[in-house]
Amino acid sequence: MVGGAAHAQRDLESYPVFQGKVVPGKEMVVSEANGFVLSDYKLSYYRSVSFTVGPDTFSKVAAMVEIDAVNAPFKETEKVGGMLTYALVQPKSAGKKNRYLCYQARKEEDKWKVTLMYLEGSATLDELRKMFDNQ
Amino acid sequence: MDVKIKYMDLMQRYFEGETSPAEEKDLAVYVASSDDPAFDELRGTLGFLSIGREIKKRKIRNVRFYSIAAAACAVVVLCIGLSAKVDRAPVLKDGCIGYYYGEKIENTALVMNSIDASLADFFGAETPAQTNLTEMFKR
Repeated sequence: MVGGAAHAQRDLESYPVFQGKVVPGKEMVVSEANGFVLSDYKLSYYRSVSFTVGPDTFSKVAAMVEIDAVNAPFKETEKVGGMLTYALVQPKSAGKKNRYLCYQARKEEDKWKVTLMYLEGSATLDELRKMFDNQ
Repeated sequence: MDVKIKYMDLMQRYFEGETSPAEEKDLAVYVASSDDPAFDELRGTLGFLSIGREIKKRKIRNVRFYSIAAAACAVVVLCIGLSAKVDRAPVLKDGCIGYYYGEKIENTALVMNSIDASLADFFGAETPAQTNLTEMFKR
């Protein structure tokens, strides 16, 4: 079900999550965009997965994102009660393209709702924040 | 002359119907190989875009140009096909797609709205550092 294998996210620890290898594709909401449709955002590739999972799978995904954060030149993370709830990771850029791994997790009763996005493009972090600042 | 300026000028003349077939061919090939958003409108006219944009109407329609544009499109499609084969896995090119719990969503507007909302939700929100500062100085 999940395509997009040709992008630079292969080097990320969290790549299997995007491939549907951690949470089955039928249990996720997946969005993918490539090329001209993203030009307004100064992005060339976008992929996101979101899902609601139990604590074990959540911990596994969070651990993968943490490894990506450790390996990245820039990251912002937040933990609540020892659990990773937010991460903005900028892995090494691929040529002239900036790359972003964005992670958000929120506890809903005994489950975790997780959203993971991977972006590639010329947009800087500052530009992305300004783009959505006043929406 | 800067390449972009040259083609911007050519694009303007194309919309005015003042370009020669050779110039139009040159323009079509350049646009097909560039991802510069400045040429999105022209791409829309050529049918390169998968979502609708406001498109200027040409004053003079040039049938010959569309033949050349179609040939350029065919080259692009062929390249996409070849690259997909090389990579083995199917790779989405110039468009968007969604899967809602396994159900395929091909409505471009729907998927792009969802992408816009996700980006706004993430990048429009306060960063943890900002939240901490807000909390710290809250009265």
